[in-house]
Amino acid sequence: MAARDASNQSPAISSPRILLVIGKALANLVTVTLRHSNYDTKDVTSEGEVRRAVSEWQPDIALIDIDEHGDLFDALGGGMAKGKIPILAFTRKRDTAVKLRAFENGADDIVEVPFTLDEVVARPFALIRRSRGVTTPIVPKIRLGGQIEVDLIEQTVKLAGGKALELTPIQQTLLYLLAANAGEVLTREALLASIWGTAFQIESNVVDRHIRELRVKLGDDWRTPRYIETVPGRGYRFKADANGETALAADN
Amino acid sequence: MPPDGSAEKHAPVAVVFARPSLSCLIELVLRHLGVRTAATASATRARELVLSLHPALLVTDIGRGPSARRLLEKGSARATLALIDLDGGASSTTAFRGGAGDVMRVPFTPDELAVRAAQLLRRYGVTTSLVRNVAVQGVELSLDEYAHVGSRTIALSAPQNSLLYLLVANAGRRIAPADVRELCWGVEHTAGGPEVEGAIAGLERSLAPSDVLRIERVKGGVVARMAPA
Repeated sequence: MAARDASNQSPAISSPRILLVIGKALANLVTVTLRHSNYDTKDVTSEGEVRRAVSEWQPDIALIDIDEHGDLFDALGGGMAKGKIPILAFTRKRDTAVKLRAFENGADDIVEVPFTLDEVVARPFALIRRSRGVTTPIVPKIRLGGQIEVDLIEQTVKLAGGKALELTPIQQTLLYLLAANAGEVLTREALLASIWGTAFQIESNVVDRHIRELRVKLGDDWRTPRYIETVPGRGYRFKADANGETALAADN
Repeated sequence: MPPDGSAEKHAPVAVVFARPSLSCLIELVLRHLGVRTAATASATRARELVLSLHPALLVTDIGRGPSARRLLEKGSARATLALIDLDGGASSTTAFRGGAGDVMRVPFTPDELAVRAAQLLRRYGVTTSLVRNVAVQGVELSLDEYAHVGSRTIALSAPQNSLLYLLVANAGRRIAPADVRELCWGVEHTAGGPEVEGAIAGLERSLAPSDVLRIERVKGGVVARMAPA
C-alpha cells in the first residue's frame, strides 16, 4: 500500500480513511474538499456508530465538530497523546477556553470556523504525517459541477474554457459548500453556520451579499441560473447536472 | 522584548521573521506565554538569530519568499510555525509539505496564535503557561475579546480586539491601512477602507473617554499613542 511521494522523502499512502463526526452540510463540504487528497470518508454521528467505526473501519484520523458532537469526543479514543488516532476538532466558538479544553480532551489540532478549504486538506495531511510518518498525495485540481475547475495549491478557480475567477477564500468555500450539497436547498442559516459560525446574526445579509458576488464572478444570471438557484423563502441550491447527479468529478 | 528578570532568563525563546508590523503583533501575543522574542525582517539576520539563540520556536512569514521557506526545512528540532497569506498565493498544504510544524493563516486572532504556539511548543517538550491577560501601559489586553482600562471592562468584537492588539503592539509606529486590513480581518477579505476606518472609530468610541490610547490619522496610515504608564 505504501508508495513514495515525489514531493518529499516520507512514504505515502494512497487512500487514508477519515472518520467524520460532523453535521450533514458541513460533512458534505469537508468530503468534497478532501477529494483533493483521495481520502476515503465515513460520516457518523452517534456514539455507537463512532465506536464501531473506530474499532472495525479503523480510520487514520477523525474530524469532529466539537460544538455539535462534543459528547462523542471520548468515543474517539483520546487522540495521539493516548496512542490513538489523531483528532482534528472543528469549532465555531471564539472562546479561548474552548480551544484549550479541546486540546486537553485529546484534540491534536483545531480548525476554526470559518475555515479555508486549504486548511481542511492541509491539517489532516500534517496530522497523518505526525501520527504515522506517511504522507498523503495531494490532488491539486478537482472539478465542481463539471464546469468549474479548482486548483487548491495555486488558489485558482477556472470556468470551462480557461477563464480564471478571482475568488476570495470565503467565496471559494461558499462555492464548495453549495456544490457539495448539489440538488439540495441550503438555508441562509445553514450557510451561515457552516461558513461563518455564530459570529453573524441571522438577519445579516452576509450570505446574500456573497452569493451575489459569487454569481457575478461565475457569470451566473439569477433569473436563468446555470449554477446557483435562489429558492424563494428557503435559500440557495447548486444545480445538479442534467442526469440529476451531483456533477462532482475528480480531475485526476 | 529583552529579558529583564531572572525568571525570564529561563523562558523559551522565539525568533520571529516577518515584516515589522506583523512581528510586533506576534511578539506582543507571545507575551501571553511568557516567551522571549527576537524579531527581524531580514532573512540573513533571522538565520543568525536561529544559530545564536537556538530558539524553541521559529515563526516565519512564508510571504517573505524562498528564504522564509528555507528556514522551515527539515533537520531542526525546534518548533516551526509558518504564517501564510492566502491572498499572497501561499497555501497551508505547501507550508506543511515544506516542513512546517504548524501553519497559521494571516490574519489571525490573538488567541489563535497564543493557543497554537502553546500547543506546538508542548509537542516539542516545551511547557508554557498561557495567561489570558497582559497589561501594557494602562491597558489590559485579553485573548477573550475584552480590555480592561482603569476600572472599566470593555467588550470588544473579534476584529476590534485584533485591531487593539495591532495598535498597542505597534504603538508609536505608523501602520498603513493595508496592514490594518490584512492583519485584522478574518477570511472576510472584502473589508475595505470604510470598514477599516469604521472599526478604528468604533474602537476609539469603546475606549472613550479614557486617553490611555490615542489613535492619530497621519499621512499613509494611523499611529497609536499610548499614555505614559
